[in-house]
Amino acid sequence: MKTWAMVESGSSADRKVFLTDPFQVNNPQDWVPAKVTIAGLTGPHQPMTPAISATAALKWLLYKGTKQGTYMGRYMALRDYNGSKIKSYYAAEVMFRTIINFGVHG
Amino acid sequence: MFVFSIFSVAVIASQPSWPASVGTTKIWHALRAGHFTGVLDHDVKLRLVGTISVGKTRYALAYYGWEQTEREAIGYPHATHRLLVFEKTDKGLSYLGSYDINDPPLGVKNNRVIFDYPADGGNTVTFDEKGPPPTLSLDGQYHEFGK
Repeated sequence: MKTWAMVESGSSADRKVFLTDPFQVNNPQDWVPAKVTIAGLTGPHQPMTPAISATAALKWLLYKGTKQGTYMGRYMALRDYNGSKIKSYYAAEVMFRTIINFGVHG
Repeated sequence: MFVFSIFSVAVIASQPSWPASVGTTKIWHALRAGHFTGVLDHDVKLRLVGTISVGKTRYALAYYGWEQTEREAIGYPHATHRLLVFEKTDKGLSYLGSYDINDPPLGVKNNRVIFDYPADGGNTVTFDEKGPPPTLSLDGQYHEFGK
């Protein structure tokens, strides 16, 4: 979780984001309605705290990583959590930094 | 009959080349009037996927894609993808809602939107006169219909 948040918003230039929505789960620009029922968010302009962000991000990660009722693992979940054309690099960086920093897979 | 049209554009740069029967202006008006919750004033990519007629109901389907640039992004760029569903009536075009999807669809075949996934986890969205399905499975993932 620590590494994931740092990759999402850990830059010193993004301090305000890190202190509100460190997992960038409620960016109004990439809002989708399913985040209400699945991630427990109320809307794209919901005031965010790190606790709300972490809880919603874990729910959204689990949803994104589950295929046919089976959780496909952190790497696959992170890829679809990000969704961009460089989603594989994103997932690989979170996994790699976790191992480097903590010596485990997270 | 297999219908497949691709028009990928940047919204700010130019309006998408929709078929005359759909109409660019009507699409944007329909999205705004229909309380679309996504971004409309950004570098959005839109692509007409096709139209489906079932009984008296006519649907228009479009792919919506938004992706941050690296300059805009906090950390890595994020992106979102949706399948937009419209209904065309005598009164005009109305936005019904959308599905959060992971990849753009391939196109439309008969009354189904086709995705490039294995069939066992779901690779189609089937439309009938009851309206868009409230939930569906694509590539083994559950998706909800919403605005």
